[in-house]
Amino acid sequence: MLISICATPAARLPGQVRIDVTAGARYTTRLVHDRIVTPFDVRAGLAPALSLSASLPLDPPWRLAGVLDVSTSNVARYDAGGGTAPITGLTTVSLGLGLARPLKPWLDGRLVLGAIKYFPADRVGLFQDGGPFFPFGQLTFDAAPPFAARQGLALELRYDIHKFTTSALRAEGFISSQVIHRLALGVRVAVRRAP
Amino acid sequence: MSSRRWLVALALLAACMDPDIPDHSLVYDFSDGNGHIFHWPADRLPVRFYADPRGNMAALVQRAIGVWQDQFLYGEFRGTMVADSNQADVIVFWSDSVPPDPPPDNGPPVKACGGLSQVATDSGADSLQLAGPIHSSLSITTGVVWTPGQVEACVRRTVIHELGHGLGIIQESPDSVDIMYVTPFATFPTQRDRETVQLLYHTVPNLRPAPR
Repeated sequence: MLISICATPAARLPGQVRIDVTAGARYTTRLVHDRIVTPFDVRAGLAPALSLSASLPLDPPWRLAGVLDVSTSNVARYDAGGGTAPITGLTTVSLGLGLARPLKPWLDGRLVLGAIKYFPADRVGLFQDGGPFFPFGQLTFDAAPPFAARQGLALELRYDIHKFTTSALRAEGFISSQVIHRLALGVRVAVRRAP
Repeated sequence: MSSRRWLVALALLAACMDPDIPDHSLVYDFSDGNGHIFHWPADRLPVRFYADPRGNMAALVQRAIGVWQDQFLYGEFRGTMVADSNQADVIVFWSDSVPPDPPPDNGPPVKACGGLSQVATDSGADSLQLAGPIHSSLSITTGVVWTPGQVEACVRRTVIHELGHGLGIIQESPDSVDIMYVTPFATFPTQRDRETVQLLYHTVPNLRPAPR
């Protein structure tokens, strides 16, 4: 089965490629939890998120999907007492490859595995040695009621998970990584529809 | 519950757990002898440093700012250079002769220079505050002929040490391996220096900077 679905795309015509763009907002769980006198978190703020996906038909109902996902926000320290301190700006770029298929007539699902790279605006603080990259997994649901589907629109919910740490955090004594969960909600627009 | 379900539950639990918080307790006292605690508050960042334009002081101060910034992970401190001493929070200057700028000697450290920082206080309207900018001076030790490389290595260490006072570590470290020891022989801040300055910047100060 795996050989079959991997071997098939080469035989597909370029006209069967479906391209979608999604714009929305992303919530990210805390990057770091630490305590110096009092506890505090380091978080990325609510971020605009943009993704570009392309898919090719495989053996029905599957499609092979590639996804490029970008979001940018500020990273800040949030003290338990309510104070905040900016650290730097942060852009994340992820690239993944996976499988998609319809789950219901109005609902598509997609599972993608790939890598996510952090690009800090400045090499400071926990990012003083630059931005790390990690493997990640992403699960996406696209809901398109008939009236929206006719316009090539869908509501998209993307969840992804990866582990996070940096060289500076390891040097500080964090011996394990923080698991990061991200949730993005956006509107998907079909740029090029498959026939 | 089957063993497989237990494994799934444990995996999910592990995915939600935070890493262990490291121990930050390797510190020395940073207050002055009267219990005064000072650090630059968030609304005064970046701290403005003015360097004596003679010799390589500007490069030494710029380097030392970077060294101290790298001790912080969470945006507690930032510093910048200014060209006008009237705009500065910390002023660093040569007290007498200006040494040349050769590569530093990599041999055993020697006390080829000295440093002094003055943190003057003043009674403000409602609490104690600094009287003005912090002044740090560097001097070259006389009486013994040091090589230019030994002097350069010494001033590099000593500028980092004096900027440590400028950040608020008013007291010296009791441990001779620390950069904040009274005669600094360390090239960079140690873990104890690092955890001390981190603790300082998460401690509520009772001394405010002078108004700008």
